[in-house]
Amino acid sequence: MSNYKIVFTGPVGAGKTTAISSLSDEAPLLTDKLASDMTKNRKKSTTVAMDYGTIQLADGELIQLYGTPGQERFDFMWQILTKGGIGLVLLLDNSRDNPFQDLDFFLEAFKGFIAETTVVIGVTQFDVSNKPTIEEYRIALRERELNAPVFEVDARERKDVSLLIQSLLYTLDPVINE
Amino acid sequence: MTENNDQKVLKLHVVGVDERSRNALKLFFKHNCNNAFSLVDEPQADVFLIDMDGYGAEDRYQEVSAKYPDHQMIIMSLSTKSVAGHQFLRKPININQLKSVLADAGIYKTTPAKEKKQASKVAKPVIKTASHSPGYAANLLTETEIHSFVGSAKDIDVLNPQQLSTIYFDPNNYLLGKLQQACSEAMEHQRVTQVVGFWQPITIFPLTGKIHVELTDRQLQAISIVSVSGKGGVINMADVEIKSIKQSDNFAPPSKGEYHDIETFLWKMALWSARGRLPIGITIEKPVYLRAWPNFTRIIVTPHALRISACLVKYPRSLIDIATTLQIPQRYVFAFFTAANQVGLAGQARRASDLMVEAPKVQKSAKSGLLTRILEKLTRSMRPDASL
Repeated sequence: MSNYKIVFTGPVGAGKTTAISSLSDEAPLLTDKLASDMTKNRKKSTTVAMDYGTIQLADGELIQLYGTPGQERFDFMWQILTKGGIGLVLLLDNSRDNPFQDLDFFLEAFKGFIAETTVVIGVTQFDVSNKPTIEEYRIALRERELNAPVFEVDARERKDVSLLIQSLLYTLDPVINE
Repeated sequence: MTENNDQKVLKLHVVGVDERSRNALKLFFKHNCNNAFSLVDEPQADVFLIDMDGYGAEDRYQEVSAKYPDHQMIIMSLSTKSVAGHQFLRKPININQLKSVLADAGIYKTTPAKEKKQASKVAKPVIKTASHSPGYAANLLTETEIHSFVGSAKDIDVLNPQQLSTIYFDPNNYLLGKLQQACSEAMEHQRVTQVVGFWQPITIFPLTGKIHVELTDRQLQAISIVSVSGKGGVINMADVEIKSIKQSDNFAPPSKGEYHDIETFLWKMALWSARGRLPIGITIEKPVYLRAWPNFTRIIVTPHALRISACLVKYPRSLIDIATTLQIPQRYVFAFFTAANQVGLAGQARRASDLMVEAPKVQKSAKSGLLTRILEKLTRSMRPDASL
């Protein structure tokens, strides 16, 4: 059986677990634990191992959706999770102090995987903070020699997450068509 | 794995280009040359590529020739140029021509068998029957909406001037032009700005990036398709004004109506006004650029818009080339481009860097079958009648 996966990453509270839940056919496997450190300030529970969901294709094949734990102390798992990945979905929380610092951190952490595949960026929590704007993200990406899709995303909205994944697929191959 | 395992990476230095062109070349080599070439600083260079189109190019050429008399120089230009003793490479650069020129100069060894084998691995672009299916967007938009956003014009023959004239419109003859101008002025001066002179005013708030309207979508659509160039119509252009709000105006934020993101609103107005046409001044057979992906989760997604974006965002291409490559009606491409153009994301490629390299053919991914199946799953489950 093939082992294709789409990897979701981003800082604590960016909406990885919610995004996977929005897209997964089955109830996702969550490995949340009550937050006990600085994470507690942002959310009650946080992912300590990984989130896992699936999309079942028409021929029965499963596409696995993996969410990395957001805390940096789990970064040893990130390289393992990306093996066999189709691409990376980076979710950024716009309400954090410095989302561009998060952007740099995750682009650097997944540099090799992005170079082999591609990355798309979803910015969440726009209702809490509308700065930086999407235009400012575009400029920031351009400065980093990236021209990746960057969309405003509500991780609870299946449509938003779906559009983000579709842009990932088209970035890999613009010729494909449903 | 590199293409040239049996020969070292050829280090190239480009002379006479701006930083943007240099970056364009860097990306071009990175994505299209299989690590055969790399762009380096002057002292590390094996070969110099001299762009003779820039200001002072001749002097730079003389300078580099004198400094590195033993190095190979390749002369580049948009028009044919002959410099004794040097190979010539026409811009925009095509990777095969570059290899051929370097091979002729004896500094690059082509490996025909290997390249042939590699080429066979690279899938050719899919040639399918024309896709008139509106695709994903149709699942969210009704047929009537699609018609109102992209029109119903048939593909034109670009060589037929009569047909060509039917695809253009002047945004300045529509409310769109005034709105676009008002948004630009509001952003430039960072002042609340209004478009007044018909029904209720439209107010632009540059600090929040919002636009306020009291009109319904139905009313806006009706106004957006009316040409306001002449007198006696629904709107007289002479009556429509752009007004910058001063502190002394005692401006009170509107209490009724709705706030929209400026980009989202202008995008929709542009689609309604254009209905699959292009702004005057755009040459369809010349390359256009898309500087960034639109914020697709917050705008109207017209048929094939994501595919068009993916195709255009990496390299400038002509609108006709995109329609042909993706096998879709021209009006889908024109509608998308006009909307992107009106929000400042797209335009005709005129910069030196845009003309530096030739856009490579869009290639099918080795995983295209899998990607297509995932796409089908995602779009099918988005349909209103879908059962998850």
